[in-house]
Amino acid sequence: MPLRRVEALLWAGFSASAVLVAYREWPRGHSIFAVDQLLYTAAYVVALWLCLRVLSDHTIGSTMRLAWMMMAWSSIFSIIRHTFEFGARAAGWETTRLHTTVSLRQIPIVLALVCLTAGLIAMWASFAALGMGVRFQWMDLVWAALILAFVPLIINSHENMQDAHSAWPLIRYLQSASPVLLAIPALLGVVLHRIRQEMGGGQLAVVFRLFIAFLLLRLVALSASVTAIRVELPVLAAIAEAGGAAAVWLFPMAALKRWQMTVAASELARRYESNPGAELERLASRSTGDV
Amino acid sequence: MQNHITDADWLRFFDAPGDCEDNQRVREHLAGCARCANVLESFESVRQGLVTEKDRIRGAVALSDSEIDSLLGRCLAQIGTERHAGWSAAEATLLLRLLIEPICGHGTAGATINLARRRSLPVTEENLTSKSWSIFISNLSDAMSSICGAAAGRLVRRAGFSIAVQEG
Amino acid sequence: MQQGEPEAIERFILNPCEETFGDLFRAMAPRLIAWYRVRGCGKELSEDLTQEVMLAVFRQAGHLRKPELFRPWVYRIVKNALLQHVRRNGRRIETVELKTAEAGSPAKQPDPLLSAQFSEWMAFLGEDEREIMMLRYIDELEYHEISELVGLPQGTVQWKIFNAKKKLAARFKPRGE
Repeated sequence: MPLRRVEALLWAGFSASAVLVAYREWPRGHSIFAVDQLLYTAAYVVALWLCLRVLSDHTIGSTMRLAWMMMAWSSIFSIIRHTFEFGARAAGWETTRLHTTVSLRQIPIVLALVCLTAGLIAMWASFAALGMGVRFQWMDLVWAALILAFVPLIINSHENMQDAHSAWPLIRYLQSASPVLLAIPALLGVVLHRIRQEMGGGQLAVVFRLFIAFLLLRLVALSASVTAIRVELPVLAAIAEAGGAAAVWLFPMAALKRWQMTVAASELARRYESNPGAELERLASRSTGDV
Repeated sequence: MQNHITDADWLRFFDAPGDCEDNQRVREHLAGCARCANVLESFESVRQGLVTEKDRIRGAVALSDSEIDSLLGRCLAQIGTERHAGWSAAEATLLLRLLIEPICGHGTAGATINLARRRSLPVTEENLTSKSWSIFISNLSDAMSSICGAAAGRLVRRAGFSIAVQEG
Repeated sequence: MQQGEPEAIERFILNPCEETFGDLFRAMAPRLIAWYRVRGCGKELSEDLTQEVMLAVFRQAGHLRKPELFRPWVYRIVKNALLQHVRRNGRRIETVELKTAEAGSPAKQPDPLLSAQFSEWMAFLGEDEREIMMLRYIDELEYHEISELVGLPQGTVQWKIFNAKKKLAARFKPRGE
């Protein structure tokens, strides 16, 4: 499938998720029969496919390959989670087995977050080897503090979290850890932001921008859904949740942009192989500002 | 071989025609099986047809020695002209930077070039030369591969080795 | 491989200079011209493209270290040069479709260079089988070189060639049967 078409599908999914969840949340009470779970599953299936393609572009044993492999695993666990949630909804378990079987969803949720964190750390390590992403500015610390401020806010409202009343202690423990598990990737988003600033543009910077948005919007959405914001500022909560739902699609979008980079580089390499003289002339004319 | 020769046996027989046990069994079976012997004849006919066609084509398109020499002369003339042109190492590095910046940004481009330069130059030298250019390109290609993938590394390699860097 | 070609390749890789390039040119140019001619290019175009390819080989001599990957690398340049030519001249060559050019056969009509029997055989095969068979039997590449060039595992290449021969053998029985 042409990549442009994949991009269009991802944006369509992004819009559909936002609209569906906004419809569910404002005003509250509408049912969308877990269609959003199907959309999330689709998003992560596409993400998995793209992560596998991207990781094949990195040499075996490289840190960046490990990063994308972890992203792929995160996608796999997310697919399991959302498929399970859709199935649970379809089987009516959300009313009959919410605190037992349904609460098991925390396991793939946590595994997905752990893999995502590992992938982001590996990505950071790749850039740190070049000396990038190791020197922070005061604004980065402000962002980190803001993100960390969400954590106690969410922890205080953990009673409102979906599996806080699970019959199993392990699940309750995993649920209570989820604010931290979401905050850590969001903090790594600050690192990615620093790296993106140091990059100074380019196709790779677009990839990072999408990752950062994905990481931050989900934390904001979780805060809006479990804290007092949901009651006191329902419109804001609805917007945040719709944003969080749409943000899922930013992950495969980031992987797509990364893969497009590989395709473009391959095409350019092929042109240099067949007619290096002409390509160098074109490059040289860019350096002198000629058209 | 109780049944007829399988595709896997044929493949081994054609592509590794040694005296191994399997091929020996194939030969023994062929001696006693008309059907498989016919199959072998068909394969041989196809192979012969392809070889004959190759020889016919080569004969039809063959150039004389003088024509080849004339073509070679034109190539060498162009090489001679190009040799007098060339880029300084600094210009060549700038060209590479222009190439990779749209991919990874000017910050990453600078970082990878600096890393590659540090790895390519002995402690006593500061500047790249035509002699250190190949090593520099290899190191830059590796650095780009580690960040942006093998395709970007390949691009650097192709472009970098296409740039003629002046002596000195 | 032609006699002397492996030695010419190795000498050139070890010491890329005009003298070794000349030997390489004499060894490889006829083969490259044949590649273009078989795929429908005229004599002059084949010579021009061959010259372009060999110049690219000389310019990029520095980055190839393994003699066994040399020929697949050259053939990649050969294919790309034809593709670029077709794209540049797409409007002028009315009978060319990009897809067939990418398959290595730029002309719609059967090439008069190929015999009627061979054309019939190749028309019977699938596109990828045809290309692999041409690389093996006309261009005389080794299995590992074809594998490197087309991006398939060597075992797959061997099977594809075997299956293609089997199809031809079953369809076009030897004369006299």
